Amino acid sequence: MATLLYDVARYFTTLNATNPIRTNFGAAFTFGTNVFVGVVPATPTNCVTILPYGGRPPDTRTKKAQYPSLQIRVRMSSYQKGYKVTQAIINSMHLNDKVCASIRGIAYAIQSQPVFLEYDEEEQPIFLANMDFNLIQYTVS
Amino acid sequence: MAVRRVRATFSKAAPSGVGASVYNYPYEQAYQTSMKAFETKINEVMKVLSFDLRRALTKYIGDELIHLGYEILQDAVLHCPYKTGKLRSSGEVNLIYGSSRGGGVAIQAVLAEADSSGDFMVEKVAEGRATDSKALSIEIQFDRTGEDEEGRSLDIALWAHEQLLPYWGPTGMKAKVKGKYFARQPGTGPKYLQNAYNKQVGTVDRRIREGINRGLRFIAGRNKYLMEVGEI
Repeated sequence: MATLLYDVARYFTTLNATNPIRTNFGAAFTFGTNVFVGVVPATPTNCVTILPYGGRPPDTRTKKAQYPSLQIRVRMSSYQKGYKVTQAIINSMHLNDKVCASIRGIAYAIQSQPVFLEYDEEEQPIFLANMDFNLIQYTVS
Repeated sequence: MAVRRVRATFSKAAPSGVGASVYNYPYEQAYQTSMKAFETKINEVMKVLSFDLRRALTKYIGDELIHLGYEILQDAVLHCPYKTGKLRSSGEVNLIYGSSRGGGVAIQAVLAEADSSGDFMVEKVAEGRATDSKALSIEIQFDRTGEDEEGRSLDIALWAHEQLLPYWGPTGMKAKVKGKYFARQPGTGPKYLQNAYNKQVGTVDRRIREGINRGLRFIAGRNKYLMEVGEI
């Protein structure tokens, strides 16, 4: 799974300046600074975290396709910004086959708009985008 | 004896000319009469069959769908985080008839015991409408709302489903992320409903095929019986 996780992280860090995700976020993405995998640090406020979870079972007949799922967790200083960034993530990643650079596959958004999770201890809103992946001839590692 | 000449035609088209009549060979007339009766009978039978077939297929496919819903809900409840048990006991399965143009709940089922003992309390809200419907679907849901620490409304069912980060504190019931919405007992956790669905997703095709087969078997058996007693 690590490959997929870091591929998605790389997708964020290589976004060009005009991409709606980056323009709504208001800064460039840097791994370990505002893009994280598996952990949500206390700072900075504005950050994106990629969390893996199960997904559908792998293809049992050909054994050449897998369907992992990821949750992209967005924490922003304001509700409006958080909503916009998460919506831009959904719009950009849905049906996008460039999200995974080292794997043949395509991403699907599970929900059409962001899921609002909660306000955290610092009153910062947290939004979620759940993504499914169809990966071909790939074994999760 | 005067022989009256008549114009005879075997065409189905209306006769033309004054005094024109249609004469058919006797066997053709009998054939047409019997064919017409046969056609009427066939149409009646087809009408009954197609009506029965649709109802039977809808009934048995609906039956398979709601049983799929029961299995998903039973599995989901086992993995649903709990503290008071209110979230667990809020799970329900609805068989929905109709499409976006109109419809409603045909059958509603809730677990009799929150610990997923397997018994369901089933309420047949509008089962008849489901068998007459051209579209069926199932809906499996948990519905529990509450308040966060600031008193704001919180969709607990969604929160528990989507909160992937640990909120079980090192000392036990103390929440690590925020609040004490749920205790995450061993075996329970987020995506409790989605994971239960994913386990069964490969069986949906087979179940619908089984529903169709059961419907066809029912129709075949029923019409055999009808033919024997002379209803058809």
